Amino acid sequence: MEVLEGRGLVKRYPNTVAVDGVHFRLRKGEILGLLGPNGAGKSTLIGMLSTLIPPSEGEILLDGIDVLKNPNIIRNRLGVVPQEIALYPDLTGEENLLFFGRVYGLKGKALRRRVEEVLEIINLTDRARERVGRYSGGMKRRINIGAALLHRPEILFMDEPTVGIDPQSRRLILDTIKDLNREGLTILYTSHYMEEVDFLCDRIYIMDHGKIIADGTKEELIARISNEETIELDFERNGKEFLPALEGLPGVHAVHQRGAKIEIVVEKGMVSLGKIVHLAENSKTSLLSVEVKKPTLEDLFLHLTGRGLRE
Amino acid sequence: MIWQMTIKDVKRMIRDKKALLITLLMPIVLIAILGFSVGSFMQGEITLSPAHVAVVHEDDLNRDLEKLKRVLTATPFARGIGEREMGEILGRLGSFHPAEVLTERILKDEKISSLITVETMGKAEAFRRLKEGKITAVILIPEGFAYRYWLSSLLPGISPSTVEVWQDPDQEIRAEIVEGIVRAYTDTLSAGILAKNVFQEVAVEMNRGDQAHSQIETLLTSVGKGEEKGLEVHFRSIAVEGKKSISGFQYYAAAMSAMFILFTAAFGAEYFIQESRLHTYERILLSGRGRGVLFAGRFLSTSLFSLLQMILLLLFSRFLFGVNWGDPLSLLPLLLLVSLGVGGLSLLLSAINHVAGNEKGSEIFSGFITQIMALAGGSFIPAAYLPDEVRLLGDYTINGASLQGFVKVMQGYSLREITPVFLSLSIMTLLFMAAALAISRLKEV
Repeated sequence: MEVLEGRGLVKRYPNTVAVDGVHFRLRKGEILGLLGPNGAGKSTLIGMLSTLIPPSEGEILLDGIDVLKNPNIIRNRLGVVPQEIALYPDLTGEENLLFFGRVYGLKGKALRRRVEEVLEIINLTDRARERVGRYSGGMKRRINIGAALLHRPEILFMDEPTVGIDPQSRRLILDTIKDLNREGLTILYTSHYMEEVDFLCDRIYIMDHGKIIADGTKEELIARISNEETIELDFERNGKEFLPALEGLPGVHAVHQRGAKIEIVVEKGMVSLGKIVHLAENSKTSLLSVEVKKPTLEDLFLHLTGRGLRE
Repeated sequence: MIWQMTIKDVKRMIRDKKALLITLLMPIVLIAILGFSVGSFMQGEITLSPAHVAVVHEDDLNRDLEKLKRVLTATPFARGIGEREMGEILGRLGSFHPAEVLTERILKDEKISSLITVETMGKAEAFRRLKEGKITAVILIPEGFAYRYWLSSLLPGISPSTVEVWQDPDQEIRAEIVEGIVRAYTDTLSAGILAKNVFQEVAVEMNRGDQAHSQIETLLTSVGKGEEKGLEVHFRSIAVEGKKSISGFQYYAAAMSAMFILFTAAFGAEYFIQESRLHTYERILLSGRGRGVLFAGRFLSTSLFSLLQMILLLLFSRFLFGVNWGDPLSLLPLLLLVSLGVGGLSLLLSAINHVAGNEKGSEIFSGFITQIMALAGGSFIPAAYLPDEVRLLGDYTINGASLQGFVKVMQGYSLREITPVFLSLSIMTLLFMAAALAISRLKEV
């Protein structure tokens, strides 16, 4: 059942169209991933859905009620974890939570109790009385999430909540998100990290240049490129003629050079490894390894846009 | 919620070392520097417009001379002095009128006239103009002044004459210039009378009294020429009723407090734009709280912080430098109104920052405009010594009005007399708030 729906959402700025006719549905209890490179329009879409950015066109419905006409109906039911650390660095973690709890109308013992609960959820009870400015990147990210949980929202928007942190903190945050979802929280999760979306999300929207270019479950999306496979070549020396020769092979859809490696997207069963080895020999390219990879969301994005997610 | 915003903002400002340094430490250091150096400031290192002095003559030269003649002929002094000699003595005495020397020769001297302009007038008019602040001081020459001077020149044990100088405490530095000139003159006269007394006493002790009498003429001749003057004059510096003179420390404690509240307003505005930069602004808006809460919190927190700032400066200056800030019952409402004015100014700067999307507005204010406002408002040089146009501009600044209020409280003005300052501060606060509201709406358009 859709809890939140965006219809034909457009956001125009003087020199650009950040979001261009997006149709969007968030179902109760799911984790919906919004995957796309930087500048794809993910944050603008979240800004519109959370009523901070007025759309140029389109409508947003929460349980069928027009949010743009009644913005207050969504505000108490929604928590937003912004991409930036939206906290006061000169206040302690606890003071920040107490303040934002009060902003959401919590008071007295109930507020104290909720702050303690949230500190436990984000695993920061021990460091709660230190100033946020002295926290590590991972701790700041966790308290940034905590501030959005204080008022027990039903829906949580998380805009790239793991940017710039170490793998250990990332893992902790991803596990916390899974736990929150298990407890019934509906989550919209944006990222340009394919692995995170892959790990967390039930359904995925892929966004680029302000448009949703694909959506579905991970399996549905991967199935779109099931007739393709990716071959990754690692080589010691690359002959000049090798790349053009690869591109000229029948069944090769795309060739991408990534540092010392080359990825070839080929039609399944159309290109044999023997042909590739033969071409390498002819162009005096000395290969170190050849690997056939399972298709990923990254491959899908590459397939759809011709670019990598992090390019 | 507004109160929670206020507490949060005050907490942040208190933890901001830069803010504390500028709003508390700097004014304390400057109060000390300016307070200690105010003496040299008053010694004429700057050009001041002249002090306007009214001279009131209650004495009458002819009547004093008649009285002197009557008294002298009835004393043992007249014995042995012929009628011709007595006439000569009276003639010479009459030709030296000490008050006239002061008011017509000394105060109208070419060099002194650049500092003082003198006008003779009646007592009632002089005091009316002094109360109106149109003149700096009134020099009052009392009845029988010349008579007492002449008598004390000739006879021992005569009570001294008194020149009274009434000052306007609002024009303290200029009034002190008048005082200094009058005092220098009267000190010279006092030295002469002391020499005469010693001369007479020694002569009597040595049984040379007659000889001493015979030298009186020589003494009087020299007095007549103004070379040797004898007069004991008591100098009385009396402030206009209800007003006290204030010290340099008092003035600069008030002046620095009035100046540094401007920086508090700028800091408040910087904190406001930081809400956007820290993205806490969006988080607050997401909760359903309007911008009004943010603006109201900014107004109250800056008002509260500036109130704390002024109270701390007051306490520091009181205990470190012994500055007397006047009647607490007058000071308290003034402090409250000043702090609300600072809150209003901070709100205006916040609105400018908000519309501009950066803190350039408050930076220009704290880096440049505060200096102009401080100068015009009298924080560097007392407003009374500034050109009229600058002083007028200063009257319409929050720091200028605050300083006026502080000085008046220190001088002991009544609450009723300070009311115009209260009104001025209240109007400024309302104007700041109205302007802030109008400017912040520009962003909605």
